[in-house]
Amino acid sequence: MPAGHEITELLERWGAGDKQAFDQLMPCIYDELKRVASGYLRGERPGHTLQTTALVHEAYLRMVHLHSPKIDNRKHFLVLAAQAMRRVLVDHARRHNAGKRDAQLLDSGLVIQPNLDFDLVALDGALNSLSQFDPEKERIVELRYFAGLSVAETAEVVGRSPATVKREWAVAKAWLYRQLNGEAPNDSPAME
Amino acid sequence: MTPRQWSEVDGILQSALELPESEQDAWIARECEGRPEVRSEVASLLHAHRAADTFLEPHTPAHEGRRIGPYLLVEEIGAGGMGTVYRARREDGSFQQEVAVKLMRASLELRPEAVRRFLEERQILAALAHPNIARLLDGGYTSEGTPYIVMEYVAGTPITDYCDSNGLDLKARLRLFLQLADGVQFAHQHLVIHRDIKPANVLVTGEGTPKLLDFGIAKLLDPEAAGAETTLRVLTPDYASPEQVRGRPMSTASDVYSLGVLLYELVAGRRPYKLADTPLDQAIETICVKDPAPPSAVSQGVPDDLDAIVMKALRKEPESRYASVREFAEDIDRYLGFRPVLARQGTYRYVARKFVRRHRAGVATAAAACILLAASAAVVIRESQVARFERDRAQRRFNEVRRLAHSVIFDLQDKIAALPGSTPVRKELIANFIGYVDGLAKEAAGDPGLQQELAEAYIQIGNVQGGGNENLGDPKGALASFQRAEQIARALVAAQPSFAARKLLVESLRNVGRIYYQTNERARAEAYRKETLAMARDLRKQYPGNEDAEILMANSLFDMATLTRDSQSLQYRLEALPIFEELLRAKPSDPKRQRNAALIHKFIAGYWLDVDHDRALPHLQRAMALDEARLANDPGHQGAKLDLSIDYNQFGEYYQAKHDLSAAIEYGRKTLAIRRDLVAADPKDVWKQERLAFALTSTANLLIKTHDYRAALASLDESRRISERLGMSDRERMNDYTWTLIVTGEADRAVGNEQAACEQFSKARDLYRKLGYSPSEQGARMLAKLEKELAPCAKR
Repeated sequence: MPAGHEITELLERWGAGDKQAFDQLMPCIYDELKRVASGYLRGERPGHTLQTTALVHEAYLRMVHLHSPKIDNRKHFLVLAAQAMRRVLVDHARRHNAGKRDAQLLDSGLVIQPNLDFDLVALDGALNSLSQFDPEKERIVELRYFAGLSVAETAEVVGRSPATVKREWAVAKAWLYRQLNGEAPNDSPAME
Repeated sequence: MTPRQWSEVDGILQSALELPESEQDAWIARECEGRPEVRSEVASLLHAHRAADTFLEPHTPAHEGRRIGPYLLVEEIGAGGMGTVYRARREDGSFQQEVAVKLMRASLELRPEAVRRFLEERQILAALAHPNIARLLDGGYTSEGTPYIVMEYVAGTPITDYCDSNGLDLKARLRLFLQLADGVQFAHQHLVIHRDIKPANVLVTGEGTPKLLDFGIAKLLDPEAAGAETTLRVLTPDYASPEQVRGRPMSTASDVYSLGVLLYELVAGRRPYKLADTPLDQAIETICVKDPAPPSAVSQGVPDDLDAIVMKALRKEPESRYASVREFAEDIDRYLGFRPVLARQGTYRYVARKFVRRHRAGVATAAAACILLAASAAVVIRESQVARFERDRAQRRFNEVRRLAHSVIFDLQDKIAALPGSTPVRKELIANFIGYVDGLAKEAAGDPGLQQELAEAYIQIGNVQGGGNENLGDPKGALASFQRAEQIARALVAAQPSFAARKLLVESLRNVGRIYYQTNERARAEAYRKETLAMARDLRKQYPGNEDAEILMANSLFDMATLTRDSQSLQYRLEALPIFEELLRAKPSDPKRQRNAALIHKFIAGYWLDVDHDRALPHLQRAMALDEARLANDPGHQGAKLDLSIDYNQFGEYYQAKHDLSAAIEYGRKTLAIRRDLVAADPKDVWKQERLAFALTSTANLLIKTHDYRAALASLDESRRISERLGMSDRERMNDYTWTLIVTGEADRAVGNEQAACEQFSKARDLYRKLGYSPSEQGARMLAKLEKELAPCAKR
């Protein structure tokens, strides 16, 4: 894994539009989040519920804080961490779903599903569909739901007003909810 | 549906959601007039929206419009690392009041103890009624268990912006600042430290009254971080004091410092340091080491008196700042009244410090006595104060003892140890504090933060007892203390393998290993050191660039080198050398790092002196330069003197190898002179006596070569007497003693006292076997030499 200052540099390069930096960063952040998360998920920290915000924060502090208190880096990091967190949780849910089918895998020691009344894997799929015609909403959902940011924090990261973020979020939620609850409309928006 | 239609749907739905629910349907019908497809889509999504209430929001529910106790949250007005702040209304029929509600991140643990502390602290803060402090009104837990606090709502502007936008002149700024200082002083009198004074927390109302927000909130939210501040908080270190960024315990002096930064900004128009784009580690270094330019150098027309006042508040050492916010404010008041300010007479402390430096020996005992007095006085004062808060008396007392133990163990021991004649005082202090710490340990179950501190305290105690360089010669006691630390650290790592816990474990193992090494339990020492090194390697790999990890790695290599011999130990040392030099480069004037780097050079030089003395020279020179620099910085330092004498001794060996015996003996005498002084200054210090014995043997060895056997034998007698008096409890000492016996044998034989010579040699061989070296180049050489010396004895 790159050292803290390298991560800072990669974040800066990615912020400046360097796609390669993203490819290098993503697996690191994913691994770090998974590592941090597994402590919680294994129940090693009693009294804690799964708090994505806390996970993301901890990952951030571990990876970059000593070398970069710059706000921009934090924003870049949060965007990436939100995506990584989505992958961590969805991957985990996938394994968990597989476990339901295969009794051998059930005893993985992981207890994650924090009272979800929907399927994370399905949510992931719905988000992918949403991103096809409204990528900004996908990003907002990632930041709000997967990184656990508040409306104000999300607004800061995406550079929109809190009011806008709040409305976008409400619509995104409605759309995703409908996708997941089987009340799909006759036809979804499609690219022209 | 096309993307264009979607953006229409999106727009109409977003607007609809802004309306009261009762009007939404009608509005949609009107907007979608004549476009049934769009309308059915919007209606379907609106339906989903109403059903999706809590969907995707289990972790961060939207709180606006929500009721918490009697408070209705109106709008979010701020968000930070610790939580979100809402403007809210108290509505319970009788009256209406605007308040600010701070809702914490829900990740705080709901342990009964944490809850109790939160509620207790809240009570104390609620009693802070002052016109310049935004009052804490209420606080508690929401139904989900999220802690929240309710504060007076202040509609105002940060003080810096207020001064600029209203064009306040210097005097007006100072008057505003004095009001603020009054608030802080009031809180200090009530034993509350702010910990986070910065412009964003000082709002000036429309009437021109400054109000401090968030008093004591930092601690309230994270009571366990009372000493070590959380990492989140130092993300903006501009106003943080050196002790704060270092994670040391904070005090009222920390608030004095932050007020100093604020005053600097008000007077000079900018902050003392530009930290905005600085990496945090550098920022910390700047705050702790660099002196800022005085305000007058930054902004024209700042008078000298004000310079002096600001700079006094910004001193690095808390004890050199104004003793209280009141003193600080009074000095500003003096300036405003054209009277001489205290800050410019502030040379007293420096004079006093110089006095102490001149009279170290006498001050030592007095200082120790003062410490004990001050300690008990602090507890007594504390007791009378806590009487006011009957319920949390026990808790406060507990914290007090904890802090006190901490400061005595960590700060004072180091200071006292550097003073001559301090050994008995230290022994007594340590005995007292083992009692304290054992007492704390009983109450510390289930508190990882405290466990960590306790383990650290045990390590410190162990060092003073018998682990460190200037110890009290009690390896048994030291081993027990280090093992306590190890036990605690293993449990902490098992519970959560954080960096801090793993670091603690490495340190504990390292110390246990060191005692086993000293007491000649070789197998155990090796097992411990191997585990230590493996763990340190892992840590360093996992946290590249982390300084603590580097230090652990360097130290572990150093230890492995001491355990092994010859070329193998050289390998470990060569691996450690660049790490030590790199650490020194990061902090070139850090005496500890100077010492470590010098030490590793000395060991490497030691190897080459045996094998190829010319290769030793650069290491000898580097070591001596480092030690001389360190001594020049602190000329009274006993340890630095001893270190320099080791360099002299090595130079003696070097010249011996070059067959320049007179130069060698000259260095031998210099070594002896320093060590005799050191022993005379503190006759009870075991380590210094050992080194004197070693130097005596070393010089005797040279004297033999110049055929001055009488002088040599006198030196050797003295050396043996010292070693025999100290006893053979320590491996190194045994090693040195064996060598002394061999040299004595040589001298005896040279003067024709063959019987005495044979006795010395055979005694040396027995001891040498007892030491149990693994077969090694040097070991084999030494044994072969002994057998040769003993050969004529067997014939007799």
